This record gives sequence, structure tokens and C-alpha cells, in this order.
Amino acid sequence: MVISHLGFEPVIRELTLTTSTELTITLVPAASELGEVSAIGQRQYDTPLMQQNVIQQKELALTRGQSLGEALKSIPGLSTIQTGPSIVKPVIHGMHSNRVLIYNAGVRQEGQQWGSEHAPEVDPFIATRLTVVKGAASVMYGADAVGGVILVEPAPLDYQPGLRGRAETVLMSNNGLGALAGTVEGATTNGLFSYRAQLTTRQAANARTPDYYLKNTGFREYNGAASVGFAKGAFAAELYASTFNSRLGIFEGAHIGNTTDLLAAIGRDEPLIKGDFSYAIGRPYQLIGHHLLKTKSSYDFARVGKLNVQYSYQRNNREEYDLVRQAYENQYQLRFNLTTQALDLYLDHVSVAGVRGKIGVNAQHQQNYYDGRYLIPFFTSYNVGAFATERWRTGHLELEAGVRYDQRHMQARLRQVPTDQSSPEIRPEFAYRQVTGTAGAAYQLPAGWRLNAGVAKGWRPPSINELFSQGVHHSSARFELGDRTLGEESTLNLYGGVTKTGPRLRGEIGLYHNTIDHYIYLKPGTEAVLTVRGAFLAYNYVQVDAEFYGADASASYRLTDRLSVLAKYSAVRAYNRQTGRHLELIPADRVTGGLSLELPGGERFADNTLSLTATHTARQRRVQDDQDFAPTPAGYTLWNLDFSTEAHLLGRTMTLSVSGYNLLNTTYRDYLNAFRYFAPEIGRNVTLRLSVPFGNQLPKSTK
Amino acid sequence: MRFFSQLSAPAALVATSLLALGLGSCSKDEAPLPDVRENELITSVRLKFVNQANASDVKLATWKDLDGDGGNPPIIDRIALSPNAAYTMTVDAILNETSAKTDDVTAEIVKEATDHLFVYKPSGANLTIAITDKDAKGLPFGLQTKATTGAASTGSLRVVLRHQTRTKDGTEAPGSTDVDTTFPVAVQ
Repeated sequence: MVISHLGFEPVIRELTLTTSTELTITLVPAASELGEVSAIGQRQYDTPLMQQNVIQQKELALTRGQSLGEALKSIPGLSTIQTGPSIVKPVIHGMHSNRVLIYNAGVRQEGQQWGSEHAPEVDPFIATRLTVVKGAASVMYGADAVGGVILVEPAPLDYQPGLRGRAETVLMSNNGLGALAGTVEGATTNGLFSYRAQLTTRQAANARTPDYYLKNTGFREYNGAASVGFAKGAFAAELYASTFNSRLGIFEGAHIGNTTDLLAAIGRDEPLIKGDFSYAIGRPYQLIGHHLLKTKSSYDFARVGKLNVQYSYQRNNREEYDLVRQAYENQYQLRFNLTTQALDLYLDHVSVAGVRGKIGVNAQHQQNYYDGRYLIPFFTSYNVGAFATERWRTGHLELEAGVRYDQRHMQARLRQVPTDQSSPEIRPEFAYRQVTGTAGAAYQLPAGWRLNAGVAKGWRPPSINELFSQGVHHSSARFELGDRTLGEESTLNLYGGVTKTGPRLRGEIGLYHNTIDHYIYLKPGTEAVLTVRGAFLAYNYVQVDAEFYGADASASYRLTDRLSVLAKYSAVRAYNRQTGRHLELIPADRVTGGLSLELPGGERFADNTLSLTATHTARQRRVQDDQDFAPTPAGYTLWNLDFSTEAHLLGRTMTLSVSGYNLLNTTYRDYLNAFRYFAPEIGRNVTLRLSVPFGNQLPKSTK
Repeated sequence: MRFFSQLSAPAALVATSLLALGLGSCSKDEAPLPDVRENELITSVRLKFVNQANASDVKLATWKDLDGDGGNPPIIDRIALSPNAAYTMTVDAILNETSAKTDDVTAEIVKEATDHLFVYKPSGANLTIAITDKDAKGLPFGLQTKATTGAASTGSLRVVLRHQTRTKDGTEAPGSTDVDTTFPVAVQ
């Protein structure tokens, strides 16, 4: 008799049954953790040997209903930069926006990601895995991966015949959020064609701080994705399309006209305008659409490897509606339209003398238009790149090395004086090229210990706003000036760490150091620009030499079969190497402690987990008073509770979970929220999630 | 042969993809640059002072920044008034001159008087400003005022236009700033 259970070592007993026998067998948890499959590197070779974390299965289920940024926040070293409660962007090791790449369903996401108030146009409901590669991963993913890469991965198409699906719903108490998501998938009986369709909606009313509602902070989102696949023998092809549509309200109390307004708002304890519980979204708001079409095919050549070709087309449309006089109330004030086409060709080659790797080329074409107020110009850009990355494994040792070449050409079109209709049109051109490389090693020690270390180079050409900004950024009351002479930013990333995967103790410690040359940043000015709305301080995009370093750690220890303790810690330091001063908008240190309890189930309820955590975020003390309009917010501690269970009802296995965020309804402000000057963060939020499968489900698939 | 027939699919895909990419990059879809539409921008604010004792004594003062925010600094007139006099002061013109045609924004602001408030802050000079008009809800508006001068002096006058959508209560605090201009003042 073999007794096996997912995640536990199988037990083999020889039995001779003559009479009825009662037998107690204790299962020992297996050394390999389900959630760390990719870190061990047994999957397809698709992420580099760098520091990375994965959110999937139960952990991912507990993030349903949240935005991508919020969902990743539980990973040490990740935080969020926000513009009020509705606009949330992920931050990796203190870097965000155009320093963090997002791959959505295998396609490099191209929106107007340079803006800190431009949230990623990604629906996390499509993902069955979220992978974060921390560090300069430019070799495999291309320019801009200076801080890291986020992979939003749908499950591979399933060629098991039949029709099946899942319906999910999420309800939140704080902002009355309701989310619905449905997936239908299946395959033809001959197993050649597979298909999947997904629809998602999220609707939220005004968010609530412990004392009042934040006016105009609701949002509405309608998303969908569909794919069809064909696979026969060594050949596979897939067509994938997705659409993301969002209307995001922006907190009305943060609408200011000038520096005086900002200082007056900072001086107030509460915003003058308060909201009530309402789903209405008025001005100011953003209307965003992101549509993607991709086709991918592969052929597995025996003794050579798998050759992959992917073409993608994506269109990003962003409209911004400001609070204006009635005369303009039927039009947007600003619209961007960015179209990106990309072609990727790569060979995932078979092991040759123990060396496996990927060799490929990429090409990308981009076209940007705008209408309304000038912020960034029209531009056309071309990128080409070629890379090779190889991994050698022998016994307990793995070595990896990679190299990449990128070239980018961009031509902008604008009026010499963008606000003057009669000014002549100019077409400045820009060219960038860079060679990057990476080298890494991992060593597997006994008892589940693993060491890893490496070095990686990354780069990023200046983004369009850094070159061309010229105007007042209203919510932050500053006059921003780009610089067309800015050059590329390049980073040298050193990392090292240790991972432990044992039956009782599991965890990781990672250290990193990034030397960034020509780091582009918005330098607070001292000179005032006089405008009709009063005087604004001029902020200039400049290049300095910077240094980022820090540590991420997480550990869990199983005290008994049912009870575990867990802890997490992350800290990042970022300095201007020329002045020795700390940079602005770097996350403060964060530490989490918690308990996780496996509750006894019954026939109807299994896999019951209750966990209670407390997260303390320190005050960011390293920025000086002259680096901000107001002192940095005080540190705060939040208590969160999660409970999840698998309920066997009506012949189905439903997943049910309840979470409570900010259980004590603490009033706090976060340094990385641009609206910290105007209002505190949201208060207590209780979330209820239910996921119901239907159709003929697969027996415990890998999903 | 079977091998090649299977290979033709990815090959065709590469070809079409390259074609698509090539088409995207070669097409001469030269969209014209959009018209300058800085529709919330104000480039000029003009104040008109009429001496209440002498209707022919009219003084105009303009704050003007034709190229919008940044670029060339604004050109600001000095307000020169007679001492110990009373003037009827109106905000004579609020213009947006960046667009293809000049927009007079004053009419829009008058139409939305219940959402706007002019605030006057004299400093240094012997000058007081009292709002004499009201909006439809009986709250002060400030397009029309009475300006009273004292003894000869110099200083400044700050003119602020507050945009207070649905929040106007007669005080300066609610809303955001549409105009915040400072004129030098000479009472002589």
C-alpha cells in the first residue's frame, strides 16, 4: 500500500489483511515545496537564475480582487507607489515605472508606464502565476529591466478533451468592491484544438479612511481574454487576444492649482471635500484601454530544441479628464495613443554537454500620438536586440551566463514651443545602443540549503517624459523640465543569497547592490517658474550616479503539525553617490511577523488555514526636510487576517476565503502615496472570496 | 516531406509577422500635430480701474504670459493709482491666447459665478479692495470691486481666482487655484 498526499513524502507499507486493521500513518512533508518549483529550475528554462519569487495557488487566490501592485506586496522587497487608493504601481527594490518591466501573457507590456500615476493595464485574474525577478534582468527581457521584471502568466492551454471552467467572485467591505470573473476552457475530443475564454469585471465605490470616504475614488474595470491553440506532434500554435478597460476616479481633494494650495492642503487635518458611499465617478478621472493580440507558434526539433516565434500587437489608449470649467466638460484634456508591434524569435535549445539555453532576437516598433494638452510629443521608435543565455548544470552546481545587444532609434515630432500653434515643427532623433551581460551561480547543499550569487548588467534609455516634459505637474505642484541631452542609464547589479527548504524551516535571505550610472531623476529645484497660477519650483530631469542596496528575508518555521510562525523583512537604501544624500521616494523598512494555523477539517471542509500577521512599516527617516513639501509620514503597524478553506458542497470543491486588512482600523499615511499630503490610507477592509469550478475537472492538475 | 509541411506553418508566421512589422514601420501615415489646445490655460489677466470721481480717469493693468507656463517670463504692468481716491475695479479680461484663436474666458467664469471666487490681497501699498458683486446664490463673486487708495505708497496686489466646483462657501479655502497673479502697485 502506498499512501501519498500532495506535498508529503509517500509512505510505503506492506500489509497482509486478515481481519479489519486500524493503522495510523504520519506523513512527513516533502522537502520540495510546491511554491518553489521554478526557483529550483525544473520547469522550462524561462527565467534567469536570479533572485525571484512566485505567487500562485493558495497564495494567489488570497490576492483575488486586488490590483497587480497590491497582489505582489506580500513579496519581500516589493512595495507599491500609489496615487490615492485607486492607482497602484508595483515597486521592486525601490524602483518602479519605467525601471520595472511587466510581461503580460508573454508580451512585454507597453503603455505609458513612465507616469507614476499610470497604473499597469493588467488584469491579474488571467494569471495562475505571478513571478517577480528581482534585479537587472535586461539580458533575457531587454531594456528597462533595471529594477526587475514581473511576469503575469496565464496557465498553459489544456488539451484534455472536455469543457470546464470556474466562476469567481470577490466582495470588499471598504469600498463596496464587487468582482466577478469567469473562465471557460476545453479542448476538442481529438485533443488537437484547445480554447479558453475569460471575462472579468471589478467595480468599486469611494474608498473609506477610518473617518470618512474619499470622494471620487471609485473605479470600474471590464476585461476579457480569449485564446485558441493547436498542437500536433512537435508543432504548437496559439492565438491570444485580451482587452483591458478601466475608468479610474481620482480623489477630488487632491485637485490643487498651485504650491499655495498644496501647502494649505498639507496644513489641514482633513480634506475640505468629503465623499459618501457612492459608485459615481466624476472628474478628475482616467479612461484607459489596453488591447493585445498575439500569435505564438513553436516547433520542437529533435536534438536541437524548441524554436519559438511570437508576434504581438498592442494598443494603449489613455484619456485624462480634469476638473475643468463647464465649457470643456464634454471632452478629455489629454489623450495618448501608443501602438506597439513586436516580433520575438528564439530557440530554447536542448542540453549540449550539460548546457541548456536560449538564443534569440527581438524587434519592436512603436508609434505614439497625443491630443489635447501637450505633455509628451509624437514619436516613432524601433528597437532590435539579440541575446544568448546559457545554463550549465553539473551535480549540485549550476552556472549561468548571458549576453545581449540592443539598439534603439527614436524620432519625436513636436512644435519647437509646444504651446504655440505657430511654432515650427521639429523632429529630433535619438539613438541608443548597449551591450549587457549576466553571470550567475547556484549551489545545492545538503538538507535543502541552496546558495546563489551573481552579477547582471541592465540598461534603460531615457523615457519620453524625461526627454520632453515641460509643464506643471498639477497634483504634485511642480514645474517639470525634461532634457533632450540625457543619455542611457546603466546598472551593475550584484546579488547573493541563501534559500532553505526543509520540513520545518523554510525561507530565504537575499542581498543586493546596484550601482547605477547616469541614474535619471527629477531633481527638486530652487528656481521658481512664474505662471498664471502662481510660482512653481522648477524640477529638472538630471543624471547622477546612484547606488541602491538592500536585503530581503523571509522565513517560516513549523512549530507543530498545525502551527507555523513566519517572518519577513525588507530594507532598501538609495544614495546619490555624488552628494551622499538619500534619494526621494524610496520605500521605508518593513517587517512582518505572523502565525499560521491549520485547522482540523471535516468531511465538508478541508485545507483550512488561518493566518494572522502584523506588518510594521517604519518612517522613511533618510530624506531631508528640503527634499519634500512635508515631513515624511510616521511609521505604522497593520494587522491582517486570512482564512481559507476548501468546501465540498453540491459535489464540487469550492474555495472560500475571508481576509481582513487593517483589522484595527488604524489611521496612517504612506510615504509612497502621492496623495499622502491630502488624506490618510484606507481603513479596515474585509474581503470575501468564492471560487466555484464547473464542468469535468481534471484530476488535480498542476494549475 | 512531412517535416517541411509542418515547418511551413511557423515559416509562414514569421513571414507574415515580418510583413506586418515592416508595414507598420514603412507606412507614411504622417498625422498632423494636434492643434494647441491648452483649454484651461489663461495667458492674460487685465484689471480696469475707473475713478469714481472722474469717469475719464481709467487705468488698465495687464499680466501677460503669451507662451504659457515656463518659457519666457510673464510681462506684468504696474498698477498706478492716484492717492486718496475711490475706483471701480473690474476684471476686464481673462484671455487664453495660446489656441488658434483667442478665447475670452471671462464669460465662462461669469456663467459659472457660483463656482468661482476672486480674492484680492493688497500688500504694502495703501490700497483696500472690497467685493461689490454677488453670484446667483448671494455669495461674493469679485469680478466687480471698489478699490480705495490712501496716502502715496508702493506695494503689490495679489489677484487670486479660486475654482470651487460645488464647494463655494464665500471663503477662499475650498477648491483649487485658476489664477494667482501679483501686480506691483504704486499709489502716487
